[in-house]
Amino acid sequence: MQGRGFLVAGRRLAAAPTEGDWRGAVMVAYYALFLECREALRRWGKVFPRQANVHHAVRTYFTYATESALKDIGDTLERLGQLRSKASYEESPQPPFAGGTSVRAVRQATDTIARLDAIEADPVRRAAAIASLPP
Amino acid sequence: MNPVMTAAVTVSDEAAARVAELALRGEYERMVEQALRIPGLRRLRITLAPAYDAGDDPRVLLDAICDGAYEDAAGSAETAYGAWKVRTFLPEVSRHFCLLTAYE
Repeated sequence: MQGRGFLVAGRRLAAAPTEGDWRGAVMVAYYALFLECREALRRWGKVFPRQANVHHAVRTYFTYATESALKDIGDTLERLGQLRSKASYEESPQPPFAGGTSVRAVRQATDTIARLDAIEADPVRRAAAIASLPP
Repeated sequence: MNPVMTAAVTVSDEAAARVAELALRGEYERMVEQALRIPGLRRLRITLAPAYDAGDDPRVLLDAICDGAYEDAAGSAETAYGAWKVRTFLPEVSRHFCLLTAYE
């Protein structure tokens, strides 16, 4: 299953009635985008050492890219990652999960995967993206 | 550019200490000022978020709590802030800070 496969579960959870559902939606939204970013980097020739923390490694490639489109993707990955940490680890009631945060997280993951697809589909943008990544 | 809002800003001791440790006071103040321009902002809560399992440094987290009437624009506010941040600061700076919005 590709990372984007999580988006279906994310939409279902975001529309469900409990804080646990909403937190779950945020978690899968992050993983959907994270996995798609990791696989893009692999297709672009990046190798992740076995001992590396792959969350950190993927985010770092996008954050330190010189192409603005990749930086924007990295910023979304960072935000969804911070939300995922709140959703996963903070037991106290979290105001961010009441309201539309979970819906927005799934939408942002969906939109950002589409941006990644657009880069992948355009040979010129793809080459520029690869060239802009740090070694 | 949106006007600067009058909103309560709280900063945890840990976040303040992290900013001092990083010697990024000026950059931090610019990020706070930009956050104060988010439409419908009511409160800005600044804390230090643990890295948990992300294998990274802790982040200075800016939680912007906004009026629910502005929620339709929420995604664009976060995206615009992020775009401004990554184009204004080097990654060595921007990676230490993250802004999240919530609506009530």
